[in-house]
Amino acid sequence: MTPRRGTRVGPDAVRFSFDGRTLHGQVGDTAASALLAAGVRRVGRSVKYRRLRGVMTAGPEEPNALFTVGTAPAVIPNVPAPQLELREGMVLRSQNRWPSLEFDVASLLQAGGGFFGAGFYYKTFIWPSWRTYESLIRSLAGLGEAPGACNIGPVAVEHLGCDVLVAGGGAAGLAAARAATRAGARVVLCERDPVCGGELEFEGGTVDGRAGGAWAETVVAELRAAGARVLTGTTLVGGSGGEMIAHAEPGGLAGANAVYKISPRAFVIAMGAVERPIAFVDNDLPGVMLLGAAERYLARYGARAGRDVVLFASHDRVYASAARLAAGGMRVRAIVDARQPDEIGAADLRDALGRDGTECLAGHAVLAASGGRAVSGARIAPLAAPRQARTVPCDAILVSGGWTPALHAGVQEGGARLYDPRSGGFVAGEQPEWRLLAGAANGQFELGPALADGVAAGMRAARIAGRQPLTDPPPDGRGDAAPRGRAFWRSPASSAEEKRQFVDPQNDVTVADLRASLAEGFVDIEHVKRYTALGFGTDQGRIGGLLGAAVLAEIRGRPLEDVGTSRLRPPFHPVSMRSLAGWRVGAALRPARRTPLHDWHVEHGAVLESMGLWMRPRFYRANGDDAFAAGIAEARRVRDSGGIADGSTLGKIEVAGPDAAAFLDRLYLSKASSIRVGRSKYMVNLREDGMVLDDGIVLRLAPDRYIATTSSGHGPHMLSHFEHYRDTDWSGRAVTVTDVTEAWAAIVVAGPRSRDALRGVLGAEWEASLARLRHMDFATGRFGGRELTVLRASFSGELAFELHCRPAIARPLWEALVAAGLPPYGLEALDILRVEKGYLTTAEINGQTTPFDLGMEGLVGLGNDCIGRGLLERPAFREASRPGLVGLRAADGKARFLAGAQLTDRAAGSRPLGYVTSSVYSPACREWIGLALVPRSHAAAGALLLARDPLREGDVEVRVTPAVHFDPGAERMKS
Amino acid sequence: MTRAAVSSGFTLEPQTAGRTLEFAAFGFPLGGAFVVGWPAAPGAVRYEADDQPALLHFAPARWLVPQPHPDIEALLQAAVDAGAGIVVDVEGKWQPLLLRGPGAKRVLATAVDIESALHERACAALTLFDCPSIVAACAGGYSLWVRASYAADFIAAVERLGA
Repeated sequence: MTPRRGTRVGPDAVRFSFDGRTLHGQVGDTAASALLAAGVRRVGRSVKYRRLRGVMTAGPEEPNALFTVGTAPAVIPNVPAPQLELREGMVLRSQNRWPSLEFDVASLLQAGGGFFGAGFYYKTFIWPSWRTYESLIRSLAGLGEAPGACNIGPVAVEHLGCDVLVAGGGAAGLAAARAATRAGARVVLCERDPVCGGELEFEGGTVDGRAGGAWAETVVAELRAAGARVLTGTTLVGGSGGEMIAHAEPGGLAGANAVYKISPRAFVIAMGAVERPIAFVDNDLPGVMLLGAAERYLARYGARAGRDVVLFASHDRVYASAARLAAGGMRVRAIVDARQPDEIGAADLRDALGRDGTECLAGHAVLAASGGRAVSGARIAPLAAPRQARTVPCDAILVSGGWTPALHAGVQEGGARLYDPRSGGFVAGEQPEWRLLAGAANGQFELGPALADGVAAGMRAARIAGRQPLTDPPPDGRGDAAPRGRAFWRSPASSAEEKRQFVDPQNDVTVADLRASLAEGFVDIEHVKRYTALGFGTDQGRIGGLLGAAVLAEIRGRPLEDVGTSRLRPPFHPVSMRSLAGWRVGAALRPARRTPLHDWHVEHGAVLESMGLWMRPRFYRANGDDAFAAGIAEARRVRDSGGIADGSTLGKIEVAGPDAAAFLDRLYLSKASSIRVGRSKYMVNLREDGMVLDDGIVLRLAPDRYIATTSSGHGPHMLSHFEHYRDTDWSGRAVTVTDVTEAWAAIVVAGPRSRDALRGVLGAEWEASLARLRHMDFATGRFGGRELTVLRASFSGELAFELHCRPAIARPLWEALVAAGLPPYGLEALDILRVEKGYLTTAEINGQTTPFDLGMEGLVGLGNDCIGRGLLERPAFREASRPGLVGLRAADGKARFLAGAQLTDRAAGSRPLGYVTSSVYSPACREWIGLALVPRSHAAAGALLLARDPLREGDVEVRVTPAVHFDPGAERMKS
Repeated sequence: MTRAAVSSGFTLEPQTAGRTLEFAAFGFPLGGAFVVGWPAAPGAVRYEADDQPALLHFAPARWLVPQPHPDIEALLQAAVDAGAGIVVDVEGKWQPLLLRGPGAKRVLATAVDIESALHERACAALTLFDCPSIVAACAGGYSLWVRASYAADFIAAVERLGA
């Protein structure tokens, strides 16, 4: 909502509550402006010392006035009051106090005269243990309370491409956006405030002869008419790799948030500058406010920071500000300028102010704010004679230590910063060509030069984006003169008083804390930050970062440019976790892949399990609600008669072309070229380092055409593996790789009755094919008018077939098989069947096992020169300490042991030798069986080990067996 | 799969998936006499008279043929005969969808910078809402082909935007 400007008139319209007290504000007010207008000066307590605090700024960098909004459990904590647009019925609560803001028990900790400085807790609460006190201290720490429920709605995410992104809609940003737009560039402009204009609206300047605010409105209208996106209420919070992230929280409160991911060809940073505080004793009392903030509250909201104010600064612009505040009805009692008389300009303004009763003091400083619970006076003294202090009564001290360019977006990714003596802060150093700075962010604090800087940046950005900029002259801007200041960081204070000179009010970091940090040996600014918390929190160091660094430099006797400031990191402004999640919430967290039989599984009571991204039936409720019992029943049925399983999740890659055979020879441990057409082979891939990557069956469809199946979870990875070698080592060769996973549904038919059932379902035309199929043969034909491939292969140890069909006929084929007496089985049964046979899954092919480890010496012995072959020959892979795949059974034939249990020998205190990779209860063996990886030195059949599983099963004595637990001669499979 | 009609300025309609082919070339760019009539440039699309995409160059050296017409099949066969590549029948791999309406672009912009993705090209292979997809501009919106196993979640993700 566009805020009301000027003086407060008309009836108060918006009712809200603050700490249970009903108050009224006006349409367009922020929480901060409404409270100021209502005379509420104390709005919170500090996080550590629980000192009373007031509104200090007019922007998102507000360190003190952070509110909890709403009622439990769906509260939103740490909302900066200057950004929070007032709404009817809004419930606001101050933070860091109990039981009330006016009386806080924890604030008694500061009674007795001394604060607990940085490191106090860690150095004090050490007996008998930090843990003894941790709970209490942590309950007192932290900003606000975490919400118990989320009431933030869906977040709108939008990816935007543009020629030029302009961050900041002040004078320079608008000038840049207009210059780029006039050059034909596609422009996106982000402005954190609800309206563009920045300082124009209260500085009283003119642009091209018009009031600054009116000029800004005209430019915005021109931009929008030309198709530019002007995103107000939207803050650029960071970026990475050329993609910039902007975040919008309408009204300053998480609710209908929006996230913009913007990929510009050129980027203009015109985010202005942040006004700096000055450290003096009790400079955190309610009533101490930044001068620019006071001006903004007066000009935009008609809210006064105080009636009688003292201004404390070290630049010329303070005099223009004083004149505007006086014109707005505030009595400026004194202007305290830390500079010497010969450094001060603005003589006319000073004279005029003096005539109106304002005391202008050069070479002076505010030594301290007076008052117990809010400012009641300013203790002022000449810098040359601090003892000659006197107190000027006032209810607000408005401070301006200069401005720090807001560089964050320019240096978050590591851009250089250079010390700028003019501003006393840092400006951006060398930047990539596509990233430009303009206006105050570039160290231009005067309106005219800032506008010219903006135009130049906009034209250059347009040129970078391939546009031809016009040669318009820059707008004629007339406003406040250049600040012409000298950096002044803190007033003189005694050692004891330094405990109350705050450099970072949000974290209660004082000058004394900086001294303590140095005394402890934390000298580097990054170390100081972590020792004291300087620059932590929601303001991300925008208030105290540079001030803290400057005081540190003074204490160390080093130039500020040598000390530097801590690294600026994204986000520039707090972003709710909900916004970071974007559209990936709930079921959309990650996609689920479904097979063509998914609906059938759901309709028939399948309990689904996510495997990789695939949704797969774990078991069917027809066999009971208990997965363990249902799995056993389904597995037993497969062994006794037969069953079907959905194997559509297997990865399937079609490799084709004259060079296909040679290509696959390179990718697999055994040769694909030796597979005859119509035959298939179990094959294994290696990584480059010789470890097993995956396994599967490769079918040769034609001399130049294969289908390679992969394990379900490895499908996408194996496709990338194939494509990588296709596009690198095999680039230009006559071979193609095509993912056909979804093009073929797969139904596994297993069990003694499987062949007979298939005969009945597929009909007479398949009779001969089914009769002649030997293990690993396949036949092709049609079913229901569509292609069907029947492969005789088994991962259950039973007579089994894989039916690969087009998805369109998967369901009718499946239903026909069910009708033929083959019930479905799920992953639980699948696991039982494969462990009984000693077959491998990702539990054993885990990226750390070689073919030797997994008992595949025979495949290695074939001698194929494949990827990984060279490193597979390392002698270390043959050592006895390498793991070997073995079977396990409980020594007593009864006990249960689970996958993950560590295996040791039976001596007490033994170190783990290996671990159980898989375990199931086997209905065929009538006991718990498992697979394990143990050193070959311990892999002899009959060896006794302990399966140690202290959190689940305790210790179980197990006996090493061959990996194949059932039908070792594979008679059933060959039947 | 049901029709997903959404009120926020767009509709998403699943289409019937028929026979679908992919042509993968051994090398790129294509050379030889057979290339006449091919959308050879990256991202190029050959449209049929009804403005439907018929041959999409969706990825390097890879083309999608959503519903092979005889003339397109003839083109493919000529390419195969010239030894330029391989045709693979991928029926069932892709779920075709039509996304139409004034809000269609905004839907895709939630997942990707669609304007840049289709800058100076008519189609692109993209990951939309974490689902592998092919997008082609068409009259009134976009033709989409989403990997069939992801299609239900893709539709759900789009429906959530319209809720």
